[in-house]
Amino acid sequence: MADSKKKILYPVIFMIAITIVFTALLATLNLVFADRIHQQSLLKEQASILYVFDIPHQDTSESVLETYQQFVEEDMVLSTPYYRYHKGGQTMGHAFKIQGAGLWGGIEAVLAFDPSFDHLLGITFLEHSETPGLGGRIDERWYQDQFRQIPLDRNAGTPYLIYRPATHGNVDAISGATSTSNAVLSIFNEEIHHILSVLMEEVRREP
Amino acid sequence: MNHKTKKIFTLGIWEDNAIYRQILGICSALAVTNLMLNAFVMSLGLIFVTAFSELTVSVLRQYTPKHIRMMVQTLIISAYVIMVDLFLKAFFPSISEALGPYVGLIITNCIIMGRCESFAQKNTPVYAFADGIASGMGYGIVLMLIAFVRELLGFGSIFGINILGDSWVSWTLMIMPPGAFFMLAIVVWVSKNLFPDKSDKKGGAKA
Repeated sequence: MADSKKKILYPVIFMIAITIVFTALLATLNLVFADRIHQQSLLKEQASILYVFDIPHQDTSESVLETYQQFVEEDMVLSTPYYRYHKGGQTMGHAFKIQGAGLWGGIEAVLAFDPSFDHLLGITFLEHSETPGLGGRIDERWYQDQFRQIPLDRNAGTPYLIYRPATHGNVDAISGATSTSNAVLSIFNEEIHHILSVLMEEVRREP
Repeated sequence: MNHKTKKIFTLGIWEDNAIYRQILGICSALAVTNLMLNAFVMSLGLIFVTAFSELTVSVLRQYTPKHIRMMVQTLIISAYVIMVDLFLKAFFPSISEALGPYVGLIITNCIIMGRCESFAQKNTPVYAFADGIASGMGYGIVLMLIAFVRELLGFGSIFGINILGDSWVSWTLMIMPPGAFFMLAIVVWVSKNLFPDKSDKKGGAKA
């Protein structure tokens, strides 16, 4: 009786003890790194905004922070995060943080427009969980660079972006990642439509 | 370096290599070998996790009740993997992103649990640690080899530095999943010829 109790008790205590030790270790490490990880993700977001507006800056964290503070202003428009690119008191561009469903999970992206909302200035992704090496290639520069200076015809309406080789196609999809490519484009078309029909007026109304 | 340590390293890196002899750790070997840098960081992560997991398992082996040892091993391995993940996020965010979910998936890499079970449970901490490094290196070397060919042919570059020049037409296939399968198959085929399997000749059933 005593023996069997010991056999049950010891493993339980052992497991609890070892779990506490490792959890404490990880919690401490998490606490130590938390600030740094937060800084890194903030920096990444700022660098993404600079990229989407195509604002030149050096590749150091100081330069990113400095350029960002100088040229970009953050705001909220109808609960959508909004970024204004200004230079010498003049608005040079508008950007919005948007979300949508990718193939495997949510995609968070930024869309930037020129001051008159006639062209797409650029796009970039902040978060996604697409397959690395396949859909994950939406992170690559060649893919994102295609979206620079694409004219948006508000009268023609959606779809604003179409994959080549279809007629009036303006961007290339990623080979081997059709589902992600399609998901991305449909998010963009939907969001561009929403921005041009709703958010644009809100932004313009502001002084 | 004494005789046993030498033996551990020749077995781990060469004769009993985890990938081409034991066919373990294949999933990540296929996934992260499209770029040398990814393969390199993944290998370092795996060496770290395997070595320290084996060390810890070996230290605790006399106190760990036999029937819950796998639970304990999983706990230890996951703790070290989370450490690697936090470290990458804090100091190398771009690499952390490039590797995506694969860092977390080191936990499920059969090499680590396999070595903990077959080696660390029966050997002293120092040898267990050495075995972890050896097995990790065996994995890393094969990964780097595959990544070398895939990146060179697929992008014309090594560690992101252009080698083959602009006139090189990239073999897109090499950086897509089929390229990994072809390369891995070639590695296993070559190794089969280098180390003829004795049990094959007898024609006995294999596990």
